[in-house]
Amino acid sequence: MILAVETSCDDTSAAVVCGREVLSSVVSSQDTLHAEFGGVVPEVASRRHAELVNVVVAEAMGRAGLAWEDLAAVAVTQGPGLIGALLVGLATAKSIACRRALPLIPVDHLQGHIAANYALGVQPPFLCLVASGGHTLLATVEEGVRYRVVAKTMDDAAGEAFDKGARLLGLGYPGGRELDELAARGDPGFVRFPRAVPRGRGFSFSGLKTALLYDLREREPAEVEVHRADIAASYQAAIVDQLVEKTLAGAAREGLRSLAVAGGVAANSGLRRALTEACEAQGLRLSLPPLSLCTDNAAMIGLAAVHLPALPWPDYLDLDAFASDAEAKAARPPRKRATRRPS
Amino acid sequence: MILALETATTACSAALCAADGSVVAERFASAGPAHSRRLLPFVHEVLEESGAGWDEVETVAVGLGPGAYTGLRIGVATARALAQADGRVRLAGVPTLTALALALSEAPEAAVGGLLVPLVDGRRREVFAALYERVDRGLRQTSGVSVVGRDDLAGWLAGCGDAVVGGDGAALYRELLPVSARPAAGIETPTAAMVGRAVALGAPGLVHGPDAVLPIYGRAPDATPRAAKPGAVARPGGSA
Ligand SMILES: [Zn+2]
Repeated sequence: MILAVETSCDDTSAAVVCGREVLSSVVSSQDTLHAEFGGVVPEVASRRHAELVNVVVAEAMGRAGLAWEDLAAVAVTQGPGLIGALLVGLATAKSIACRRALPLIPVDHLQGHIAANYALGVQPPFLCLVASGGHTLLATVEEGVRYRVVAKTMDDAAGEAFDKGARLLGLGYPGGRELDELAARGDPGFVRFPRAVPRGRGFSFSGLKTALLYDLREREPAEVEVHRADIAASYQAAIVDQLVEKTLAGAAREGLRSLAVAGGVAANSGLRRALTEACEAQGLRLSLPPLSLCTDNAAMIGLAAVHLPALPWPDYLDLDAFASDAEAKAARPPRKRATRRPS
Repeated sequence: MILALETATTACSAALCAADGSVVAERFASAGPAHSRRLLPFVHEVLEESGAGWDEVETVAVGLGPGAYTGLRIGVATARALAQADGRVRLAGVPTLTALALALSEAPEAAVGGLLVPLVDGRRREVFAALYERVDRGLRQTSGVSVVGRDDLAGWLAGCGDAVVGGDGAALYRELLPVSARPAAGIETPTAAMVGRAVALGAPGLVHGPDAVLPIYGRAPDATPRAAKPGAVARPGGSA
């Protein structure tokens, strides 16, 4: 049984995982807290994590019906993410593991997103579309959570495109979910927004965002009002089309018949529907995690931890968090290099 | 025994104190790698050095600040989680300024009835300060926490009258101190040993339990509601 903690952005979460079974998963979202700022304020997020993390851990342990003695290890997101936020979760996880003399398993946030698919029993190798506010990439997962990036975004992340589009359309924060709901009532053929560069492997969303800006500028406010759902549906369709098209092309290139999705954008209903249809048409297997495992959560960190080396007590006491992949190397002291981590 | 932590400044320390507040084992670093890399190794080392097991720790205590936010949170999160995973120990918190004030009250420079002013560097050219008075048996706090700008510090301290000052804020702005503010020798940084002693002696502002043991930030976070949003970032975790 592994207790997992994840605080890389604005969700405080803890979970208990046993193999690929999620025994409990608790997520305390800070969305309403950050809504008035129109984005995540790192210091506000870090303060909230510090207040909530122990409560969320206690809740996860309670719902799983566990005592501390039942744990075999503690897993935690080491990075990337907001450094102040990560450090609250890391200090908490390290301290719990230290007090119980348990091993600690540091997990990369992206590996966590990918591992969410293991709750559904997917078998590697598979191609995973990882799409969130911070990432948009295709990863070939060869074994466990070891992956190779085969395509990524050249500019914005898909989640950013959703959130920025939502802001242009005058929706609330975070806007992706609202945009999804609005788009469900609209006509996706109302505006023909630009699609992906046909020959490029990578994703690109910045041109799309600009196209939306110009489209809205050229319309009378009253017209925008009447057709807001249609414009939202058209905009979402352009993002979804690109994600689906590039993902299927990537699978063909990699010779993989098994696909998976991960990250907050994987909760988008338009993407879920389009990918399901496309995979059915081509006879591909698709792993589509439940929404609760797509957005940030600690269960996915626990699911990833199963496939990663554990640092025995007390080797991890000086472990640091890392904000970006570039800092990841510095966060791993040389003597810990023996416990290799797939990248 | 009391396991005490202090991380409100660039210094980082852990100490194991006896019930009377005396230090059994101590680790201290004035600067160096991040608190996240030093604090738990220090905890491990003081326990090892003393030969004490967790069974002998009755209280986990932490300096609550104010101070630098990230360090503060690491100290508080560590203390809270150690206590949570123990299930038996008491969790205690002491304002860092109080821990410093208690150390000042025991300095040779202090006199009964005298004013004590601990100063903690708050960055941004400001210090956190509070006023304390040395009373017959211990300490009395006579003001709340003030955030004093570097340029106002000399005037603010002069207005307090004769006082013994200390802390990393006093060390940092030493040349700005008025003659009425006498620095106590050797009390330049709040330490875990001071926190442990403040808990042992029941210093003012001592709190217990997870509902109360939370950082004292001394300032609101820098953030402006929507429209102007310099501090806000896109949600890397991803929405949609
Ligand atoms: Zn994420």
